[in-house]
Amino acid sequence: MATARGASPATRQGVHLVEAAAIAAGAIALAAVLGPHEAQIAAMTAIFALAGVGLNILVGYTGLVSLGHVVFFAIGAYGWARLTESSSVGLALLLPILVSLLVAGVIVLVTLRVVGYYFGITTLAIGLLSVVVVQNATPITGGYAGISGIQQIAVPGFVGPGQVLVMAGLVLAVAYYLQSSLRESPLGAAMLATRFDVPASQSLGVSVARVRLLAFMISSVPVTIAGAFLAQLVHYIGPDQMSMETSIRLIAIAIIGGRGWRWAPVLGAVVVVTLPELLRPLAEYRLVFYGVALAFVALFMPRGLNQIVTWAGGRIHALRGSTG
Amino acid sequence: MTELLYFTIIGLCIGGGYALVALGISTLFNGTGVLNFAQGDIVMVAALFVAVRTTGGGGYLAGFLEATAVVLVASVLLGLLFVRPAIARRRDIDLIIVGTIGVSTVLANLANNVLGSETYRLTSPVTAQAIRLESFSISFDYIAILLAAGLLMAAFFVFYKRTDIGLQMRAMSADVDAARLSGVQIARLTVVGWVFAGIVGVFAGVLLGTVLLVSASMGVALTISGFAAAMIGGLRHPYGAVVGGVIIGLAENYAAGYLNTATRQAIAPLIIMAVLLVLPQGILAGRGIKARVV
Repeated sequence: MATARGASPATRQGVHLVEAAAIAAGAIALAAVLGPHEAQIAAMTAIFALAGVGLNILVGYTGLVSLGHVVFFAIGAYGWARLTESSSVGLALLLPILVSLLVAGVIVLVTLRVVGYYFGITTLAIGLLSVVVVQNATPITGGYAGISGIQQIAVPGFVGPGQVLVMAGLVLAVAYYLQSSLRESPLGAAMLATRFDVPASQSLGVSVARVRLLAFMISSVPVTIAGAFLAQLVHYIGPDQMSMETSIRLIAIAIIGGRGWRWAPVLGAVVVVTLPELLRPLAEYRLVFYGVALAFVALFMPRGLNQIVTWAGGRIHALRGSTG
Repeated sequence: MTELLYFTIIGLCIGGGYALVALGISTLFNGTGVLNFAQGDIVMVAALFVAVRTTGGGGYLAGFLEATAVVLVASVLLGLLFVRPAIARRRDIDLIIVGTIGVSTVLANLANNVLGSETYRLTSPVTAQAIRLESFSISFDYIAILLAAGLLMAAFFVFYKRTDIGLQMRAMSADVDAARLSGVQIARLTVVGWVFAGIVGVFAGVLLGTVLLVSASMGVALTISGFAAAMIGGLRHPYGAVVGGVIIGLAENYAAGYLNTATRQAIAPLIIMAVLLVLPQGILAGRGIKARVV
């Protein structure tokens, strides 16, 4: 992991490609060996890691905190559920992505003039609006009853949740690679510049509005696809899954993982999704746990798990140096 | 016509409650630079605590005092936690948002686990008394909100203008570094700011609890209403929150009365977006005020 920094761009691209392949291979291997229950948890983790990629790009690269990304999650999930009833799988994936891009564009236009706190407040309002729509637009979303009996993509050779795990793992690998490459690209550099210093980046010819528009639109895509996978995994979509809590969970993944770090979505999802599942006896306190984790990381460990990894890496390096 | 009058009075009174939520938000924001996404949950904790106590046969006033004690302890702890971000004011705003969101998640779920997930209606000693308005009756609870909100606002006004701590808080709000150089104890004042936000939150909770349905999940909606009220007034102007609160209270009640409850839930988020588009500085912002930087 540490080799990527300071290496030449070509080497870094190679490292990212290898890591993405490792993610895909890991997902397939897990799908092959895990039982149905464990595969379900692993698939859930992969789905939230995929959504976390979107939030990681937004909050990590541009520093904008969105508390409203549940709207894209819902578009993906309900879009898949409704469109697979009558049309093809391709359309059920593509149309929601287009809708999400459109919605993301509108949200950016509304929030163009605001940063920081006001952006947070507005996205919280958007998240709440989306929850109200989900609960009440009964013809589309099924209201409080939700939609059940949702079909999933069949993957030959795998059964049940393993199929979703394979698909989500493959898409996650692609998203991971694109996310890591984005950071190396001029657009990624422009995003980072707007995060740290708006006037300075403007003076270098970066259009803050355009960078923000692109970042928000890009971040909506993985979240939308993740929503579609969630619908496939549990075969049911209802307001419980599309609550503000989900919105907060999405941002928690990027923050706890370490915003901007390329491994943040995967490791953050492990902490936010897998760990609480494994601590079943304490299920009631699951949400308290990640509230505490969120506040703790925000206040005392701003770089999240990345900080631990860097620290541990430094220790190992120091130990090696002292013995050798 | 009396229907309209009824909705207007109710909306006005509930708006007073929202103004208190907003007062808690802007007190903390102006004092420490921390925008608290957990204010609604502090309000919720107080309301739910008293609701559980009174349902269990306890008195309203005893419950109120206990809730105050609980919230005070929580506020002091939170204040101590947030001292560092307040001292380094330039600290990343995204982390403060996420930090207070984390606090909100903790409060909502702890309340859910410890106090229960049922929905309550809080009865106060004056709930039974009511003013008749032809076929409608307005409980004294509503009037109490308006009275208490007015008194608290007046108390804060005097506090900011006349006391030493109030002066220090205004100094800190204007410029942290300059305030520190003049001998203001930033860390101590941060805790004071959280305690004030907590006290206002308790009042908002025990008052609003008597007219809204109380449950562990009501916090986010209250936070949004508080933000909407504070933004209409302009976050820097605590008294603008009164106007904002009343506008939201009225809009929500007209929506609930003439349309449906789904529209009512959507009012506060919609108002936030409308304010951003039309009047990003808030309606009370005077000329010559610097462009928004936070």
